[in-house]
Amino acid sequence: MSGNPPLTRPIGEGLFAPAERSGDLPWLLGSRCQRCAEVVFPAMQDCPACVSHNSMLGYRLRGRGRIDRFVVARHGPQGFTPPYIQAFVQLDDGPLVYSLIDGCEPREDALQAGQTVEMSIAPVRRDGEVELIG
Amino acid sequence: MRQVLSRMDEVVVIGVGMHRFGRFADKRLGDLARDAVWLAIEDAGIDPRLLDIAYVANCYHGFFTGQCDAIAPVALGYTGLSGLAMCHVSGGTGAATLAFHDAVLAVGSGLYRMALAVGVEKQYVPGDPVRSIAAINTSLEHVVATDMGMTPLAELAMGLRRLMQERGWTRKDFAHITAKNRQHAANNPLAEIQQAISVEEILAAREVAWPLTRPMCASAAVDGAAAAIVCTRHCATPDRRRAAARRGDGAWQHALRVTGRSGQTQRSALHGCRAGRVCVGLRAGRRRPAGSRTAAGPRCGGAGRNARLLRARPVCAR
Repeated sequence: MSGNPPLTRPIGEGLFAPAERSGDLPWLLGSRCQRCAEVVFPAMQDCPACVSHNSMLGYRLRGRGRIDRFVVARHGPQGFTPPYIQAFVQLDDGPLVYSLIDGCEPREDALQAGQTVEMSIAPVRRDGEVELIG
Repeated sequence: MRQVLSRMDEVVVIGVGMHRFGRFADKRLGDLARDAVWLAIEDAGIDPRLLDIAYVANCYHGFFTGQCDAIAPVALGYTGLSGLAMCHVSGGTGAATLAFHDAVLAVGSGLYRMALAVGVEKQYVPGDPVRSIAAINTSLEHVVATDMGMTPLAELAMGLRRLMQERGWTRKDFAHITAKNRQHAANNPLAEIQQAISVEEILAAREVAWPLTRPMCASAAVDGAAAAIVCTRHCATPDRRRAAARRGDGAWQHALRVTGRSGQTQRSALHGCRAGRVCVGLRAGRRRPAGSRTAAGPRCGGAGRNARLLRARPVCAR
């Protein structure tokens, strides 16, 4: 089977959608409360801010924000090759989300809190023959 | 809640016990709990039939054995207390504290006269440290973020970095806490690691996740147990206190008030811990990174349910 492209699967269902045009950022699929306008990711049906039932509708978030805090992990679960950077990113659309950071060396001085980051979709780890992307 | 507290009876700790923390491949969960519980009973100088209820904290027995329910009877099955009413409590690093909290509320509210709180974990798997770490990782809510490599330690490290930014704490401050804790451990024959270590050695050790170095983090593969018995002040009668004093064990003179009339709750407990022996009962459970209470407290506050998934790249990576 060598030569075939690896099977890929999203890390979870209903989390993101590809950009419509080349050069655009992919979308994160969250939801927004019709009552209080709270935006969350991943999508929920009940609002965690105003605690209202069935008040949230689907909402697309642009994957752009600023690093809230990060760490260079020297150990990781099976399937991950340390060192790698984990971070919490404050999205421009509101939610604070967990993120892996790539595109820079996994060093403490390669990043700083407040730095702008953009979303990309890339391989996260392998699960047997399947490459999980996120 | 304030009204409830104002009506609560004053609660005291009358006995504590602890099984040494370490690696005990030849012992079962019940063996660890048994030692701690009977030491607490002997420390209290009570007839164990006076106990009304037990709160048993354990998080990972189900992970290792598949026994996901009936944890409390499994843990206490070898103590002879099998007829005792018991509840299982789970909650990661705070599990034993929750059990203690429940025991205090149980007797303080007047529902029971005397309660036992136990924290017990058996996490050492010979030759397979990865499995011990995997067990701890189940304390992190399993969401997409954990599928993407988030670990409790990294989450904790990020929380510490935030606190360092906000409050001006330094890595050296954490090293001092670790050195202090290790000094206590060096004097505690029941501690897992009984060697003191200097601040310089801590800072120079292998980095796990900045600002944490290896000595700042306890081992995942560790077994141990601790127990405490609480009752109301009026239940701890003067006769019993005098009898205990004659025996020389001192438990009843040193009975620790853990809650009282409103406004006295946490402060009393903390003073008691500093004052003496009872702190071992409160430290039941397992690992606590060297940041101690400070490090384990806020747990990355804002990164709760809404913090999930993103893979990002720096826009201006240097």
